[in-house]
Amino acid sequence: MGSEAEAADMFKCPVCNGNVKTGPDDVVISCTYCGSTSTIEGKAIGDHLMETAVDADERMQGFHSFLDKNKGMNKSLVQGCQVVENRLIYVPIWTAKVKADSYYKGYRTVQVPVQKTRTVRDSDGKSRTETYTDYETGYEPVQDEIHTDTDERLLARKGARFYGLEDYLETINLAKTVPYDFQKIKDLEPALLNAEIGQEEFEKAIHGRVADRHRSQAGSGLTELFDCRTTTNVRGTTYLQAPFSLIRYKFEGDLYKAAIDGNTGRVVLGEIPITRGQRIMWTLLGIIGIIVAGGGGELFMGAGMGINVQPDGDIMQIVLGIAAIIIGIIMTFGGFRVLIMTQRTKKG
Amino acid sequence: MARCAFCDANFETGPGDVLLVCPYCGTAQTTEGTKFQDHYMIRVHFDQGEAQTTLLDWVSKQLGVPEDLNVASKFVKYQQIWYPFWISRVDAHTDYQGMGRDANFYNEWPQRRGAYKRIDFFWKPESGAFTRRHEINIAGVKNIDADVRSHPIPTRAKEYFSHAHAEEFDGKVLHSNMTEDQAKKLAHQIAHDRQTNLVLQEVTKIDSRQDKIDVGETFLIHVPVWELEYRYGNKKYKASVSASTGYVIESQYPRSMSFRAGGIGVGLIMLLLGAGLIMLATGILTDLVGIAAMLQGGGLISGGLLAILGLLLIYKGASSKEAKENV
Repeated sequence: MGSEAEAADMFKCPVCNGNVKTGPDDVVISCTYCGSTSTIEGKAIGDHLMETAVDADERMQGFHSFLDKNKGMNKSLVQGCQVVENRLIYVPIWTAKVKADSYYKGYRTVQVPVQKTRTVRDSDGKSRTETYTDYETGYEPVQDEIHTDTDERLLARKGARFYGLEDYLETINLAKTVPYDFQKIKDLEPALLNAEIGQEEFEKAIHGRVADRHRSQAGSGLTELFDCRTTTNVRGTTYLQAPFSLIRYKFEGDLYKAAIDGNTGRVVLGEIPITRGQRIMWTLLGIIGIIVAGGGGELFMGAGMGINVQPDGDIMQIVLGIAAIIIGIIMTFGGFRVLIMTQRTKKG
Repeated sequence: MARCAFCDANFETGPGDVLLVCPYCGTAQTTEGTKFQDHYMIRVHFDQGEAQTTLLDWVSKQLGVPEDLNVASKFVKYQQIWYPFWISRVDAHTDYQGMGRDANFYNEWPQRRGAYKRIDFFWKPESGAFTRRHEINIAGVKNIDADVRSHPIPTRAKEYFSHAHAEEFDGKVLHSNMTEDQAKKLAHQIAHDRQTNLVLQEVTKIDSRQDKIDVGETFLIHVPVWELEYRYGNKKYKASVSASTGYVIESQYPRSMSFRAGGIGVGLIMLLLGAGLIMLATGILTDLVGIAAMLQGGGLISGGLLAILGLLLIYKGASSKEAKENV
């Protein structure tokens, strides 16, 4: 499929002199022959890391154990699935330590319990005073600081997104990375993606991201955020090539997908089919839920109206009744939700 | 009609098309005939057959889709459309002065230290700066479906636009309604608005601001999408599938008669049962048929649940929706 583009850029690898076909926006390039990685100006990238990858069989194993863990009562899932795509891609990632300090100021409203007294007239016509608790609004000034020092990662591709990306970036463990060595991964025939975002650009982008995160963290729980100032300090920026694989599989003729961490072969995020049998089971659960909730309602009303209660039994009965109502309603909606769901999404 | 400034061929253009792609030699050019250099594309990785299979396999897992969809549906329309997008990188730095809100607090509640009875807002001058880099993506045509508009431009490498590649699949390359200058201007405007939103989080009133908005590299990229239409039964269904990743951008899909009948039927039964239980519990039936009120607690709760679920199932049975693949 596909013809060669006539005007593709060529990049001469400074190490092996090979001609590497590159995308127009690539700024960090891995040579497809010797694997050495350099910037578009031909400067070698220092301290450049990668994660090793496992081969297709091991990825399949990880995928099968994911299915096995999530199969539920669908016993035929592992045998019945048919993988149609399982290709290893090395994606370019920038990582850095970001130390961020925010100072913020705002206020929140709270409910203050206030004891009050009032005069009431009882059924005999006598009046007496009683105390009760009322809630009044209080304004609580908040002045605080947020200090974080986190590992931040960014996919070094412009405007790009793929299934499971956020979860995948989370799983990258810098302690497990090794110095980049193309020979170690060559036999897996990975597709190496070049970076379109350079180091300076990454550091700018990551400042904005951390600052925005601090702002939303400061603002959560506040009625109004007056001020929020963040300073960031980015250090230890490293270019990292990380293995990823998207598995697409068919089950009973329908198409599903799963995102695989190529380093461990484990699934980070995947779709799981729901079979007819499972839908029926969940629906039954929902119907049982309706009955449980109804029973709870009976208990509750029964206790409240003083029908067939033993002495002191009614508190117990009310609590049981309410519990049954809540459990029943959760079961009902949980059960019927599965009935109308397309598929389940599970984290690995 | 326009005449290509490079191969002299005449080709069709629509009203509003200002950045043209010659269907014979593939050169991107302005209406005045200046060649446009930064013109890219994403390669097709799913040909027509693969896109159709992927679509049907994916659609068949949707709720209530007939089981014979894969064999009984027929594709009646298939066209590869190359949608133009303008992508700009904008560096923005905004210094601002304005009035921000702050407050004084009076009369501490004795019941809760740190909380006050009265809050008094006041304005205070504030200033600061925001530095952000924005990546802005603008569709080059106006009549574009919202889902196609916002589908992610794939991670696959982009390449210089190759007309031969688009022609391989009889692709229709859409001209852009926008020139590079207009796209840059719009990107500038969007970046300016985003900066304004940032500033407005800090101050409520902006007194003065100095913006340094630098619209950097701006390029045109054509992204291939399969616009498909298939017939199942008497009806036709439309779908868009990304030709480079195989993702189903959106698709209408049929629902089997048995699913609809089942949904509406079961839903109705549940609704009636629920209504009956509620009437029983509230004692309305006492007046009508002389049954005494009973099951007062359980009837209300179970009846309510049944009625809600019944309505939901009826809705599911009767509705037709588009499905979108989450990326």
